[in-house]
Amino acid sequence: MPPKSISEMTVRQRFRHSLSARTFRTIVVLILMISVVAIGFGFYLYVDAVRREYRTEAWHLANAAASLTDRSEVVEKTREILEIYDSIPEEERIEDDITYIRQFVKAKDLLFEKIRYTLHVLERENEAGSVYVGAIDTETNKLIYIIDSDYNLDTFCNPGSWDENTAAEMKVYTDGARITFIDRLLGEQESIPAVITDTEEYGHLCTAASPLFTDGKYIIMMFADMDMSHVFRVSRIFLIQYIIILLAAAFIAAMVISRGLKKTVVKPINDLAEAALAYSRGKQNEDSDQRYFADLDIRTGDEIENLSLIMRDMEADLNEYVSNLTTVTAEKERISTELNVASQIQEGMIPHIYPAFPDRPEFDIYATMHPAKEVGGDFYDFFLVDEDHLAMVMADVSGKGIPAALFMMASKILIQNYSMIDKRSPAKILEQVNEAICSSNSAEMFVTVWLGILEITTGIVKAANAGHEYPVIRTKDGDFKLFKDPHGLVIGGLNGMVYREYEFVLESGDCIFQYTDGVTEATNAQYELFGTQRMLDALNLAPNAEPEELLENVLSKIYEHVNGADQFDDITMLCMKYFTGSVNVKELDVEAKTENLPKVMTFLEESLEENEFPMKEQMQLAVAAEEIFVNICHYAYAPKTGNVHMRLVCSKNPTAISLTFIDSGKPYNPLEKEDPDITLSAEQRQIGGLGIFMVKQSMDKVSYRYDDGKNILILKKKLHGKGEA
Amino acid sequence: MTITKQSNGNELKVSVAGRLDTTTAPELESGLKESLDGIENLVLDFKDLEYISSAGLRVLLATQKIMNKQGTMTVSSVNDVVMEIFEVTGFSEILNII
Repeated sequence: MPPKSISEMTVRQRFRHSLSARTFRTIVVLILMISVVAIGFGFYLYVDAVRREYRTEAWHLANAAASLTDRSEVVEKTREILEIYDSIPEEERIEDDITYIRQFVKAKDLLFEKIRYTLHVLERENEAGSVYVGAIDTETNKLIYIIDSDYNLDTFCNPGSWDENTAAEMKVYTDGARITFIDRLLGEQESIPAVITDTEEYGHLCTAASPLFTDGKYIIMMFADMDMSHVFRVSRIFLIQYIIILLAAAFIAAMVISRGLKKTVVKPINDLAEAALAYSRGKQNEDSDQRYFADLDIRTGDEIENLSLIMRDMEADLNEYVSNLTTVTAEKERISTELNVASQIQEGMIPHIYPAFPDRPEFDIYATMHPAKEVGGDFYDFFLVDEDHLAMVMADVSGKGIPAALFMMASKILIQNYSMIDKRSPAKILEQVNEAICSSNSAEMFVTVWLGILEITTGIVKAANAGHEYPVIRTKDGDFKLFKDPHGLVIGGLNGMVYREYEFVLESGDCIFQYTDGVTEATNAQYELFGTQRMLDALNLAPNAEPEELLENVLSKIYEHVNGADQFDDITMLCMKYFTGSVNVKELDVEAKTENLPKVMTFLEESLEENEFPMKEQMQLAVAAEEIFVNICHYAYAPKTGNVHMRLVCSKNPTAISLTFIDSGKPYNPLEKEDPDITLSAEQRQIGGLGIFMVKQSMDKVSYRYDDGKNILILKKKLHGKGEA
Repeated sequence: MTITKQSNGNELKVSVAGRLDTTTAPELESGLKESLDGIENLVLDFKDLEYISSAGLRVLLATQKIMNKQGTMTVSSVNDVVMEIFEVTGFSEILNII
């Protein structure tokens, strides 16, 4: 399981993991450990010192008693008692037996009491347990009491009573007897002949002995007992108090330290953490001027304060960075928006409404431009110079982006203007455009241009090429072929250039195709160019197709070739198909009323019969014409009526009909109407919507546009060539 | 357009000749409406029908909906041109054409 962050923990977990709690526990444990060691060691030293003290004291007392009593009197009294003791047979020596004790009564005379009193004074003055003369039977290790100082009858030891002692204890006493005066001076403390005992009978005692004399098997010594019971009692109490105080001190110290730590470490860190959290939340809310770290007031004077200062600086830097970024992004967006508008203006400048010349059945022209990512410098153009002359322009400006777009605009306008002035000669037009551009071309830009002018009545095309691609021409049902025309220098390259003009003749059904290098240089991921041959192959897939379809064929082949690879150049193409004099044009103006339908039908029938149109196609055209006409009658001027202009253009080779309806009614595009679902049963079928559907189904092409306050709807139907849609 | 009606009890045969378009369709519609009462078997003879537009189809659809409630409707002797229109518009699926 991954470790949780503090904020994900429960209160209990958070407490267990907090620094102060951890510190608290550590300090308590540490102090307890130190205390145990200190108490143990201290107590040992204390007890040792006390024992040493008591041994010394007892020893001194014993020595003092030995010195302060009259030696001869003690000897005399001792011998007397020992004699009585020796006189009693072993088996009759019964401790505490009254008969036995009584045998010693005679020894307890005045002298006995005198010595005893002296000893008692010593005992009292020294707060000793008791001071007494004893004889050690070296054979039996018995300590036989001779004279006991104790005035307490309960604990008084009668002369002749004894204690069984261990040999080791006796040895201490007897060894002590050998300690010399010099030894004592030298302070040979270790050899102090004292024994500490803890018996039920006498309690905790320290007994020392000072040798008096020896008598046969007996060593007679002056004993001093120091009562240690209260010392140990006191020290036990002391120990308990000591432990309690230590525990309390440890607890209090831990509390204080952990409190201090909480204030100086934990709280500042928590504050920092909260500020960081708030900061990241603020960021999500796109708050650009955040002051979470700046508002912190951490004054610990250590690394944490340093950290908070660094975080504050970082926050300020980030805020500044974000605000800079916002400005830069806004600027970028503004530029991008402007570029888009520029690109729209550029696209709007070149003709893009088709059919471009619905009134001109003599030619069909179509052009497309697929810009690469940015605004570029490719452009096409076509316009009627006069009633009989169609100018076609294909051009490519050097470079990309805004400069190319600006240069393109200038070039386009110049070419059109000069074409209008100097109508018939492309070479002259290009020369003048070149002059105009060269005279003010500070940026050293240039543009390649192909300009062709078609004389519509004769099919003669005059053209000039200023460094542009070769045009592609299809004549007499052949293939599309490159036309290797004479090239001049690019426009804007050199002042005073002269361009060569050439001409060729188009016959009905012939086609011109022009393009920019974006077509031939379309590149796939393997850096393979699309090339001229692939372009010609694409055109020759369906050489009879309409210009729009021809361009679609080329474009789809290009996309197939590049296979999703990014293109760096605009793909621009133009195609013009020419139909010559065999064109038959019929026109009819009729009021938009359903009652006039027979008139329309008659007009259509007569025109089609004249052009020897077969029955089936005539019928399809009649149905389509009826639907469109009735539609106009119902919607265009309702509830009033108005004029419908019909123009029927029949071209031969290939035979094709173009039927145009023009009305000045409300803008209405019938083609936008949704197709009916023709799979439904009779009950579910809606009455209506069928007419336009039938038109779409039976015609090769139906197009609509609203132009200059007029609805223009064109039906196209071919007899041969591509199959019906 | 000319409409010829031939009635035999609950059977009605209507022959339509000429053009069935926007102008003539209302004529057929009213002509059928007045004769359909009690008819269980309607036959539309299109032998001499030259032309049909969506207005004509509309009448056919409306008539088919009426006849679905009271009997059957059959369209006979449809020429190629009209048949193609029936096919394009899906009417060949709706109508009982013989």
